[in-house]
Amino acid sequence: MENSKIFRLIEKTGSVKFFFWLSIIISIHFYTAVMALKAGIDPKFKTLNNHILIDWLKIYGSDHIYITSWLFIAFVLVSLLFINMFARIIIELDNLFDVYMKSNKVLFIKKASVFLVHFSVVMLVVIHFASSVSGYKSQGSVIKKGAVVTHPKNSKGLKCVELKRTADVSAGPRSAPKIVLKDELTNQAFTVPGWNKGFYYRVYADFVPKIIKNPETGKERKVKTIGLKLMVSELNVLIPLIFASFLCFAGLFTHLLMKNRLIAGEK
Amino acid sequence: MEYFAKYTYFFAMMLYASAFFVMYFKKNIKIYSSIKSIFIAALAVHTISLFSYIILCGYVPMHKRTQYMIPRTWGLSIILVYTWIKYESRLLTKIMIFTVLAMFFIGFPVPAPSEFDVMPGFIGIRPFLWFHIYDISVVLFAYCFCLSIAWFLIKHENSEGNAKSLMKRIHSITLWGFVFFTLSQIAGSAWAIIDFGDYWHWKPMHLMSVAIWMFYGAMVHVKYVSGLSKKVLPVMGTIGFLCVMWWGIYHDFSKVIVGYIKGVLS
Repeated sequence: MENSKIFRLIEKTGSVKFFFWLSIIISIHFYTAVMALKAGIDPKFKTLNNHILIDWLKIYGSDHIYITSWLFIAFVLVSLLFINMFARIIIELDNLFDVYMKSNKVLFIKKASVFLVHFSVVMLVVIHFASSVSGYKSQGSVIKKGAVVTHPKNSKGLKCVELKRTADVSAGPRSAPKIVLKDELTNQAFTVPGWNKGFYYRVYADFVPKIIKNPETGKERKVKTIGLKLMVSELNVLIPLIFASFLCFAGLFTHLLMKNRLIAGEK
Repeated sequence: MEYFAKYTYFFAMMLYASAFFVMYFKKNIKIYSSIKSIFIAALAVHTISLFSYIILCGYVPMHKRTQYMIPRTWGLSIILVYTWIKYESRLLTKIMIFTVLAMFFIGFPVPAPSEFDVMPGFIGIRPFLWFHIYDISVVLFAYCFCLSIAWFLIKHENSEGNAKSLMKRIHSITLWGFVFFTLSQIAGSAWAIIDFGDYWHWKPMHLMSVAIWMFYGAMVHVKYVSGLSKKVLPVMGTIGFLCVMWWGIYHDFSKVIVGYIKGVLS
């Protein structure tokens, strides 16, 4: 296999040198966005949180050319990273097979741990991409009891018929709420988080600005409160995400363990 | 008791600074054991201060730079004492003390325990795990930074053997830092999913995490890349930590830079 043209191409695509320069460019690209965001160049960037990527591009894409170009470059860079990592895991699989055939257990585990880390990164990229382009996010409306949340696939919307939040602060901003939504189209109620008619519904917490008036001085003050918003996906990415994180953790932990074991062995 | 925690922390920093001056001015005298005593005393005082904060606040200081610098300087101080005992390297120790003091000044003025505030939802095991695993990675990046600076200075003195040993340590610490940083991101994502409902938000903190992760990921791979100068790793070790610190200092500095660029362009 080593001599074939395809394998040579895979080796070039999955080279460490390519990864090295690519990750530095990605790092600079994201760092630039951080600086631009902090400098307040385009405050609309945060509206990305209220839409999935495709919807955002349709609504704001042409008006916010800086963000759109940044997103496009990020997409190209992450796609290149995906190709590089994918080629890498093919090379590593081939190496793993060779080492397995030679019955070198220690080297096999060491190489398998590196493979696991790279594989989990590829998984994370795929999962994140899938969740970024599928489904629907509510456009900034906060879920309250009695409120109706609109949904592109459901013209009449979803009415929140029950919302219970725990008073325990340590439970987090989302406070483990129990939410029941009623489909206004079919009049059927369902619990969130959960599936309903091919969509997975869950809530996320977001900072919501609120203006508070001081009763004594009459001055108005803008404060941040935490509101619950609805997220609707065609895929429930949480389980694959947990799985990929576990693989990454297992790979890193085993790699460090084996590395120290090998060093100790050399001594 | 309220100001005991704060001023013992200041006292520990003064002890580190005094060790720095002793090392700086008494160059030709064997001072190993006296410096060791100062370091152990400083670390003991620092530990007392940290535990006083934990007891009074009910959690390990975190969330704001004026707070999280206390456990971070403590972490770097442990490595500092260990490095001095194991390697007796004056140069590296001086750089480490300098870094500890710089981190202290970045976090200045340190609030007293009653002045601490924490956002709702930032209390509990999940944010605790994320913050403090991240703290460990920052401490390791800080150590990597110190090793990188030491490498440049030793290289300048043409001490090839020491430079090689430092380079090995930079490689090893970068890997550990990267592993802890990755773990902190996994813990942070789990916390974000459980408490906020989503693992990714388009906000500076998450973008910065990607930038740091990719940067240190590149650093981990430096030794496998052919044709790179030896300086690349120490340069990256220095830049990486400065960027992490810049993020910690709190980012409004970018407004100054962008304002300056806008001014030049206009």
